[in-house]
Amino acid sequence: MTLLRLMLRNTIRRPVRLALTIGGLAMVVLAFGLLRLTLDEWHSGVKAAANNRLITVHAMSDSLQLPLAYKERLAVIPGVQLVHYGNVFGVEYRDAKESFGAFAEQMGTFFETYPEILLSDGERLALLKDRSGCLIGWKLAARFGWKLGDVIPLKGTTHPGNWELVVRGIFHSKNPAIMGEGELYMHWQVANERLKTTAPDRVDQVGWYVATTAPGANPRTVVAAIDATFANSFAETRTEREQAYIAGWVARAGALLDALHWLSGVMNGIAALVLVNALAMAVRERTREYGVMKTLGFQPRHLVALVLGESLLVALGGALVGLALLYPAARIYAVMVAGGKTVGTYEITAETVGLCLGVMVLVGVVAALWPAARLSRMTTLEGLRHRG
Amino acid sequence: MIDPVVSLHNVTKTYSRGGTEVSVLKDLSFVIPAGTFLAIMGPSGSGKSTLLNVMAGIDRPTSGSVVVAGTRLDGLSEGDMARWRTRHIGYVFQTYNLIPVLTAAENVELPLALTHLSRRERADHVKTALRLVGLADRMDHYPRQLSGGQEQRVGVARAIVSDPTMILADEPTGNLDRESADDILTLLARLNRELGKTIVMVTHDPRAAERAQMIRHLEKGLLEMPP
Repeated sequence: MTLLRLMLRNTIRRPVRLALTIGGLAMVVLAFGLLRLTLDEWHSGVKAAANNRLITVHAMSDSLQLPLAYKERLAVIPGVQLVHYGNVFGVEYRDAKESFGAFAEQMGTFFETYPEILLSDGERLALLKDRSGCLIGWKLAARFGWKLGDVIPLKGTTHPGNWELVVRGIFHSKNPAIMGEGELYMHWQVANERLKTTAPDRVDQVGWYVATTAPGANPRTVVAAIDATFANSFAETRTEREQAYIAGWVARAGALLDALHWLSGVMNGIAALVLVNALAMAVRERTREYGVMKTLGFQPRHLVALVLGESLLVALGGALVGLALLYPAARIYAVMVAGGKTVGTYEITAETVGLCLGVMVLVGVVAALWPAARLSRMTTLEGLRHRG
Repeated sequence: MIDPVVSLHNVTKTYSRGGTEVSVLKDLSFVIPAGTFLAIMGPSGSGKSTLLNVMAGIDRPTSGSVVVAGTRLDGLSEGDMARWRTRHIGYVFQTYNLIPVLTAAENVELPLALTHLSRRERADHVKTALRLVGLADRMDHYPRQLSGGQEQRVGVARAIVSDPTMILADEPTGNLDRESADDILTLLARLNRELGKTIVMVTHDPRAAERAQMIRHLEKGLLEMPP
């Protein structure tokens, strides 16, 4: 108990230094936590993907289009229950900075394909009836203050011309990682009809098909069957389960993700250095006291325990303050990111909390190694003769 | 003849300073009987503190044998030496060397953290030690709240709390005013007289040395023997 008391009192002995050290560590935990949230956000789609949805795109590139005529051939492949399709519908609102994710979807199959969408029957019906209508996520509505019935003037980027879409539905999502709540969805037919005058060579083409498999169907078999159907055609297909498709996108950002992982490591290195510096100062100041303790009969392991305990206390203090800051910071971060094209969820999971705490424990142990090793090597006489 | 607590045989201690060998202790041989209050005097650099450290197992002789409380010290490892010190040595420092973040009672309790005593037993030992040095009413005071004399009395309480075989005091009155120094010397003499503690005190103050039963002078590493 005496040693534990000594450890606690040593830890709070220099309140200003302690506050600065904990503050420094908390900033690292905060940055590390936000980085993890970003990485989690990237991977969340993979985890949240549906098992019964297959994505079919052009085999050469996701950016190439597939003929609308494939729809009928897809629908008759054994194991396919429903075929949905859509296109990217690039838009700007007021200016280029105010763009957001927008898609032209076949509304007749949209809701059945994506049961994640939570929308009242009235709004669903209104959207299906009104071909100039659109569906927006509640976060996008909140961002621009849009309400049901509002007319949104948009400038098309992928579909040239000015567009006026009427808000017919504002939805929530059961699964924001797949069906983002910061996006806009409009009728594919309307976008396609405009292309007849503005870009006739792009008419009746779709960016992707989403095939929902029938219950009991083996998705692997269906995937193979789809691609086999269009093999040797002028537009061969690449079909993947939704999870694999999203994972592919994440993998394509591999260099960026690798860089973020490295950055996480660098941050923890900085945390360790901050703590080593503070501990080394403290141990140097108390060298004589440690010499006195050795004179009284304390062994190097007792002194190592004191330093290690102090290091862990400070590291955990930094972790707790950092995590306390992470919660409000994650909300602010999500809003800031919403200024871009998508609105993330940025939920702090138990895994993130555990990772932050675990990393700080590791930092605490690593930071204590050098000062503890110095104390272990120090003789009693060296300790007593030390002039701080 | 009373059994010796300390027995030194042909002890030498040599340091290397800037490539030059400096002999601090030169072939010392003597015994200290149990229950003795011995003062070792000598000018600065005469080797007094080195001799005390050798007896405490804090420093090792270059050659010769040191037997204290029945244990030959030169064969012990650092860890064994520390364990041995816990049982047999109470050390009083010139500069008190109390831990500033611990109260008087906690400082005194510190050596007991290495024993198997229960919490209650430790508390009893601490109270007894502080009562002996006249500081029962200052148990919860931190070192900064005590005078120099009181701090040294806490230092003495810490040295006796584990009931060691021998108390070694390195210039215990060196940083004190005359009145406080007298208090400490009276306390050490009492511990020797009433509790039979063997005390070895290093000092360069003749008035302090007078309080001991026996005085030995150390001059250039050689101990002056009584006529």
